[in-house]
Amino acid sequence: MSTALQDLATLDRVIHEPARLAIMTVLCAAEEADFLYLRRECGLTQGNLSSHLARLEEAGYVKIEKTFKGKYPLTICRLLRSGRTAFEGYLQKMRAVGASIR
Amino acid sequence: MTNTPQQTEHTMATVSSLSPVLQAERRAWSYWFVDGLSNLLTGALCQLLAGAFLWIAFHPHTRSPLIIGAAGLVLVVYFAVFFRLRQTLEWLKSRITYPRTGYTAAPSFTEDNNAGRQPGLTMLALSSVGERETVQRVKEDLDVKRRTWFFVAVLAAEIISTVLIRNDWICGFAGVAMGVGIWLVTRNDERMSWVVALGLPFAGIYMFIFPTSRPRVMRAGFFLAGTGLVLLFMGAIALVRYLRRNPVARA
Repeated sequence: MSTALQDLATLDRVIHEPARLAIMTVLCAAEEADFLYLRRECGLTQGNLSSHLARLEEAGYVKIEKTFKGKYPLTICRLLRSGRTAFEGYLQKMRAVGASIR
Repeated sequence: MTNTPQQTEHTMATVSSLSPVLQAERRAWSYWFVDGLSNLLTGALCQLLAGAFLWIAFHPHTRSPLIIGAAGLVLVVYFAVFFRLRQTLEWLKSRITYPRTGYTAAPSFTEDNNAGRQPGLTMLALSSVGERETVQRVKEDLDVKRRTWFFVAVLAAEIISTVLIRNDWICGFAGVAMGVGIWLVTRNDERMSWVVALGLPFAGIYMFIFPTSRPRVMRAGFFLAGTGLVLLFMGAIALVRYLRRNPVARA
């Protein structure tokens, strides 16, 4: 088995799950986003998004904060530096794997 | 936790293209304008300033404290809104946009927290699709800056020419030239509405009604009023469309 394929086994499984990958992509692109925006962008249900965000927060990739914009309550999610680094590393590994498969 | 082959295939397809990241970034950026509120507010500011210009134009020799006070009040309101445009928009959005489609901050709006962010995205670009797309992305960024400067320069030239050149056709000519120019540089940019390109010639032609025999300040006032109307029209269309598509989300 080539090194690239061996790398497949070391992929970050927290990010590798499609819903969490979508969340990470949106949070990487935007500086911050609230729960409703993420739900619409990723096409997830409320419960699904909650559980995936909790998993990402637990891994130390995402920070979740409850705040207000005017009178409107917001649950704002931000990608932490560790999350960004992990996401970049994940993408690099996937690229290497993709190249080796082709 | 294990991944099915379908999951891995889906993930590979996602990662093999840069578009999801860039698309998400562009969507976050354009989200600020999705509800038309920024155009409505800018249009309202134009109308306010036009009102002050026309007020002065129609009362050139009046020294009444009431008129001076009213003109001063208009200017105070104008600058108060102008310098707190972002906060005013946030306030409006917190009542209209965020309850419907949520909140996100585009990267360019949060420079304070942005340290190291752009290199990160560049790295993503490199790692995902290679240098060609990165170069493309940098080119696009430069294009946006160039277009913005072009827009500002043409707008300044238009305002100066309508005030300085005493010719009945100048406003119409400047409006048509600006509309064509803006259409030429923004025809591939989805963020620029067709209403701007069509509206500016309209604003210029609309000023044919006000010949050069009128005071310059009056012509400038009418030009601002025309431009403000275009922006208000554009903002209203976007807002109505947005409200119809996005009823208030239920928790």
